[in-house]
Amino acid sequence: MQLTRALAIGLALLPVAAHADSSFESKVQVYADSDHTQVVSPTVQAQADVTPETNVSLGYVADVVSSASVDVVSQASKITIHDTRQQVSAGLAHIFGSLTAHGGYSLSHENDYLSNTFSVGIAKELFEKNSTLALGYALSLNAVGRAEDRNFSRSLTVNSVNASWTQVVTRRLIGQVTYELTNASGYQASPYRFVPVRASVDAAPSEWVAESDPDARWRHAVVLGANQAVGADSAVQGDYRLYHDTWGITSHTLGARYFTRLSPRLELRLRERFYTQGAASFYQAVYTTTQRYMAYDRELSPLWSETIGAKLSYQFTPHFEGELKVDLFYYGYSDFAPLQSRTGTNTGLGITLTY
Amino acid sequence: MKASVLAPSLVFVFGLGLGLGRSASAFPTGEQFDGDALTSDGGGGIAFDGAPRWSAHTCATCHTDAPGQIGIELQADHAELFTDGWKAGTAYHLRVVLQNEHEGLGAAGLGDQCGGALDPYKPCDYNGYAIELDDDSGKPVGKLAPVVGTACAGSGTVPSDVDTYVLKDGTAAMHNGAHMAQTKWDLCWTAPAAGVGTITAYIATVDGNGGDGTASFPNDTVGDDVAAGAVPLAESGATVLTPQTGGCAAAGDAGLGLALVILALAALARGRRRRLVIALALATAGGCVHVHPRERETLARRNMKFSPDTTEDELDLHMQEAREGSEGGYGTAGGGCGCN
Repeated sequence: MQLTRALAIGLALLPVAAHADSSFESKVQVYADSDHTQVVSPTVQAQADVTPETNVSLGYVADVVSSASVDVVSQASKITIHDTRQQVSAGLAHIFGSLTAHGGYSLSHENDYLSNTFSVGIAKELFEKNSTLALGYALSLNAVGRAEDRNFSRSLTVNSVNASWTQVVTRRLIGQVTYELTNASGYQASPYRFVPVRASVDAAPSEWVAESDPDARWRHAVVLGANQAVGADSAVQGDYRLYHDTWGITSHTLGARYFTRLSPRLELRLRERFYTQGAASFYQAVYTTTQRYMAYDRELSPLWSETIGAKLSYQFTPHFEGELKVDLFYYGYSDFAPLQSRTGTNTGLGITLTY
Repeated sequence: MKASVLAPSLVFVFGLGLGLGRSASAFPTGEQFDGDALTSDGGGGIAFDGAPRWSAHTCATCHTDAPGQIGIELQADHAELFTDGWKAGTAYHLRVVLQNEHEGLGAAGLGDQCGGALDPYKPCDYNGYAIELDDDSGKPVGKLAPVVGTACAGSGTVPSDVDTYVLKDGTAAMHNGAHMAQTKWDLCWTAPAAGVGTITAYIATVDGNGGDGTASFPNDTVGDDVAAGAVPLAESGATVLTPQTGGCAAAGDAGLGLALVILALAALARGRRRRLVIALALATAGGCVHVHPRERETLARRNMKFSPDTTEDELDLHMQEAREGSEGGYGTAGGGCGCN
């Protein structure tokens, strides 16, 4: 089961900034949904200031997956699959006056997917540190395989550039605008998914053909965000993302988070996220004939989702914090016959040591 | 005066530590601020409240390695002090509130029943504050006095249980050590004559941890928490107060509105016009908004960062991107408030 691509890219674009302190984090998240998929994700992250200007970081994350999703059931092997993805990462950041430069590398491996991701970036403080311009680049080289099929070998190369402008607006308000351009070139379908060719949704398939997506995909994402302090120690964060790609998907994402202290040691975070997208141009709920591009992928169908959640962080000492979070989510699919919706939870436990 | 009639103000700040050693002693009584530094281990008349005349030195000068978890709130009996500004000759009842106390809580329940008078010794929850109000040139203005009952103290003797001390030269006020476990201190400030302009209240607080737990160091400077900040107070009837300097329309509360208008225009405009609007937005934001480093205490809080928990965000992004057709845009973080 291929899990690598999205996380590898995501990690590559998260810059490692030099921090005023060092830290160690250990967390575990458990994802479970009504589509019979469970994912346990333990992670450890450590970073340290080796000099006042230099920060190094190391990380490990695993995804232990158990799934009998319609994705799996709809293909030839109607079994519950088990798979594990493991990733290690390292980062280095250095401060040169008002400029921070960072670089990172991550290696992700599972039985049918190998990914190497390199990233670099700079962040420059401007206007007496009221503004920050950040630029980044990431390259992800992926080797795609298929379990129990040594003859299947594909590649996927992902280049990504991003730029962000962060602005102090008032003493209690910060804004940020980010643009990211990504080009993915290579194999982007699922080697396990087959598309039924049939006269109607209810008809028996006349044949199953391997899923085929275009090899090239350009993604554009613009995010506007704002953080506003509220009261003595609370804050409200909001963001909006507009996304469009050359496969024809346009999406809108709205997010909001509210932080408040229930006591000097206990912080509560409430969150809400709404997401909606249109279908890829070549996506069809029913393919009556074989076509050049065919997908049986609910992620390329029209969908919307809603997530609400809460997180409690308790500071046992100034240097030791524990956290507990629960997110509830709903996904609705208006044009994907095998699945109309799914609900689920994403729960997490974690500790953080700072020193 | 009851606390409920005091109007909450607008400051919540954190302090930073500078470096002295364990042997340094705090100032448990206000009189020690007036004491000679060499002969009586005093402060030499320095209030350590962060005012410019003290080179912005605060309690953190001696109370080192503070974790910066406490905050300060300034309250006043006349709410309009923070909205319309100060009025000449008006006597304001101010209250400095130490928020989120977390040090010395084990001794907080003892109140004043602590210290060397007990056998065995029990540490005290010893907190403190200092405040002064300066004009634009950094000169203290107005008159400070303790609160006795509900009135401003006159020239007579102040009862010993009133927990505010005013420096001999009248330029700053601070705790006098009358009570332990204090997190609120009341004082009077009578505004000066008209024409002074904006006045800034410089405030610092210490959340003491009870020394080293022994009678040898009942209130040392190690292991405490510190906060410091400044609250600008406009003169009533004068130009509307803007917390930032630089004379820009984008400053103050207008900044959010202007930014939203510009972003809305950018979203509506097309082609060259859109690029022009975005360029204007960036120029406006970058060139006109100036928030000084000393004004960024709130911005430095963890909950003001765009990605306060990057590890969790990475896990969440992974989950979302595997289940949706979109990705990108959230992985980049600019430098936040530029506080480092």
